[in-house]
Amino acid sequence: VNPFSYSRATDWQAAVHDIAGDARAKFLGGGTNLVDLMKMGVENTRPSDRHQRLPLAQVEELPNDAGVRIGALVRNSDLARASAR
Amino acid sequence: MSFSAAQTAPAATARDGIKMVDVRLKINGREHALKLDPRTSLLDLLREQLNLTGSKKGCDHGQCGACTVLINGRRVNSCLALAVVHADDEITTIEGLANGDQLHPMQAAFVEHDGFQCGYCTSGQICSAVACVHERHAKDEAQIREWMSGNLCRCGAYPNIVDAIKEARAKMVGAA
Repeated sequence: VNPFSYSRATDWQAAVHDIAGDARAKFLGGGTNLVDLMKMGVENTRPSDRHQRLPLAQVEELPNDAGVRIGALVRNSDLARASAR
Repeated sequence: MSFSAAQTAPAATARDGIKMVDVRLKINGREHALKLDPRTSLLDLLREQLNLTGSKKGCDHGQCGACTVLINGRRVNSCLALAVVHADDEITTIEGLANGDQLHPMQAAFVEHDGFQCGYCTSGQICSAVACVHERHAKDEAQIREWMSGNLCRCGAYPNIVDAIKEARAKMVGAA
């Protein structure tokens, strides 16, 4: 795995600020499989990737039949179970 | 057995000149103050630095389940988990399931039913099975097979693994 740095943001505004301006920065979370891609060298993530952990793990039904909002950190298994309800 | 934090704290700079991250991890009820290369997988940390070698490295790509541990009660492939991400989490490995010399009901059931042959997948199978029961995904054989499908056993001990989980489920539900 290529070297990278890690930081944890306290809110999404800070997370967006952190990642802006660095094309190689990535968010880590939810249903992504970033880590195995980094191991394979498919994701070539050199210094200064920033991985975040934020309260964005909810699946919410929106009012007025407007659909659902899926948080960026929702895990695939949670989403599968949520949609089965 | 216990290991001091000093043993597990390498120099402040990793090999490639990247910054080490200070992190406190709670593993099997014990806090560890660590300085980690952010690339360190939870599995490598457990095995190579903390001498918790029960979790096994099979594929190292999240496909075999041999490295399964519990994070906040949820099963996770520790080979795909970056250790630094799991500060503040409760991490439980196979070493943390027994109560002293008294095996966890799932461990006892695997022994009772020969739920293994070579044993390489077993710690992952057992951690996964504990969560499977807690998730209430062990209602019947079909459900157990589906929800344990992330843990491969090349020896093919699946029938006995299913039997073990059914027996442990009864004891775990009874104890809860």
